[in-house]
Amino acid sequence: MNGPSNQAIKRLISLHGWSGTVLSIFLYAVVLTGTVSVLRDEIARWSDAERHIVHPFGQPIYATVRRLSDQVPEAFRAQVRVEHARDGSLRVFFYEKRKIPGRGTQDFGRDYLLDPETHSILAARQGVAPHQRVESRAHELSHFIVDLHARLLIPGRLGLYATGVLGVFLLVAVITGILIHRHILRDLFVTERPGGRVVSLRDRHGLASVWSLPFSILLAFTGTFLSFATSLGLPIVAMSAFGGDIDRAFAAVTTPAKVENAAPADLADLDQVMADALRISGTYPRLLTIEDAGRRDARIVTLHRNGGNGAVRSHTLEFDGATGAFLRDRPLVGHEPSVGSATVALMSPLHFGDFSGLASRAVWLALGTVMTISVVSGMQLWLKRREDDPVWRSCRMMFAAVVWGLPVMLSGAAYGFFLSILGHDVHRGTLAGFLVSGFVVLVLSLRAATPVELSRVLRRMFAWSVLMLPVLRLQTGGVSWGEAILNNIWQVLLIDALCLALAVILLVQQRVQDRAAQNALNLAE
Amino acid sequence: MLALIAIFISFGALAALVQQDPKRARVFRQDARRVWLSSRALWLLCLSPSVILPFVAPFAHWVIWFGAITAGGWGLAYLRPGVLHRIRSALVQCEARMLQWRG
Repeated sequence: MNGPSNQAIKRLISLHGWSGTVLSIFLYAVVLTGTVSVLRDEIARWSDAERHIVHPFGQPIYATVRRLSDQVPEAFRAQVRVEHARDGSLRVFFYEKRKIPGRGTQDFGRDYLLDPETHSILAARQGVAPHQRVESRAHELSHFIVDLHARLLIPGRLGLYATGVLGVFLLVAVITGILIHRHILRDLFVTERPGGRVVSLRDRHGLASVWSLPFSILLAFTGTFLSFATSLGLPIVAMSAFGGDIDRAFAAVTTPAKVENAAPADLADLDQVMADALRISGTYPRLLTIEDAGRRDARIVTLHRNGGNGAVRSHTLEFDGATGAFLRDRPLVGHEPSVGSATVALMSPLHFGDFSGLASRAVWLALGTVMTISVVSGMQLWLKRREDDPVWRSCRMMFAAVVWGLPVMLSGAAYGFFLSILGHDVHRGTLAGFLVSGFVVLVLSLRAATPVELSRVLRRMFAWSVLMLPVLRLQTGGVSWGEAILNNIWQVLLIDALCLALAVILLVQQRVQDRAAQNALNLAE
Repeated sequence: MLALIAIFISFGALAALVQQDPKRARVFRQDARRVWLSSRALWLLCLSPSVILPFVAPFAHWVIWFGAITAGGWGLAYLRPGVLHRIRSALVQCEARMLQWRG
């Protein structure tokens, strides 16, 4: 079989290199933070283990929803959305569809944020889809990392566009990588040759890229889909077929038609529905919606984002709103089961890796690490091949600053979080920690003589800062290991152990490298 | 549990493949290793759970197995030849020093 010609391979190598190089720094940031955010729930528990975190749907909700329903205007009672809010609280939103001039159909109503355990009201607001949130110490740090991964801290849709484009670039790099690598199977077990030569870096990059290939494609594709689906895809559909009305377009795609029956009927017992949903899917839902409450044709729909019962796909379960009887597993997209809908249902669980508890997360963490190594080694290889060029030499310094600077900044965000716990504004504290450590990295980068020296300093700084994180956590009121064992808060032990292991590995590695460099110097002398 | 067994089987096969890979041996100037099973048989053993698991376990187990052998395969291949031997020697040295220190 004839492969691509030499000329074609040269072009592909160029495309592969440039697609990775142009946005490599941002790609690295997205891949690294994505790897860390696999453990977002564990980080949330670790960062504020004192507070008893309860799943909002772990408590009965029926009485609460009825109580709140009596407090809202009658017009808002028909449509209800009960949600596990991002800040860990229980969100109950009573609304109606309203035509807003220039904005199409919007959800207008009253939004309540409730304590997940006691269901006492934390915040309430009335308006057009009010996305209010309460400050939650437990979720601040993990949300910061997830925001950095999903939006690069860019607000609004622009952030999603940016990460979507990065996903496309990663896909291009992966596909061109397959085409230019002629000996994928033959090089499958060839590890990095010693000496820090071009061939060593090529081995390192090739090994990590080939082994992570299936998951690079999977994560790049699902990530691009998640970034673009609601920020770009749906608005385009809405503009082309629904006069720009995104809400109507969404409803048309996801809500099937039903036989109308406006006869009055009481709402089914939500707690019974929740128990049935838990039995069928194996997980608590992320969202429960009630459509046309108070009518005979009411529907209750529960959205379960991550697997459960050994399944990988998300579930959307539909119940009769008047009797509470289970009706069907509703397709996520479209009105009838289809390959497209089944594929969409796989996107979130496969991207987040949270479909099978700690086992799937551990595997996703390992895969993310290999992908990070692949991105970094690819860039190192690109720069090594161009080290004679002064422009690319300056890029080496920048790249060294980012590769070790970003972990330092993430660790700085954790420091900011813990130090601001006592002052209460953890949101600003986390961001301040991130920015201050970024400034420190910038100063160190400007003062460093060579990229190697900068990498060395930043690596050591990161190792020590991570080593001290468990100490800082304890000093700012965190639970001790003894308390964690007694109260079965294994997340504290896990993240502390990961911090210590990471620090020890980096420090030992640095010591070995320093010794090797010293020996080489002695030999030369 | 089934996924764990599958991962162990695949890891074992991968470790043997790493051990007897001819290009790896050539690159690191190693002597020819004893061949336990042919590469084809080892690959068959390594990938056999991909066919068996979907019939005996939920799909999530298959995905976990696939992810684990992908990341683990990289880990096995990443270790340079002789690293395990060096780690063992270092541990033996450590033990000897501790015994010496105890007197």
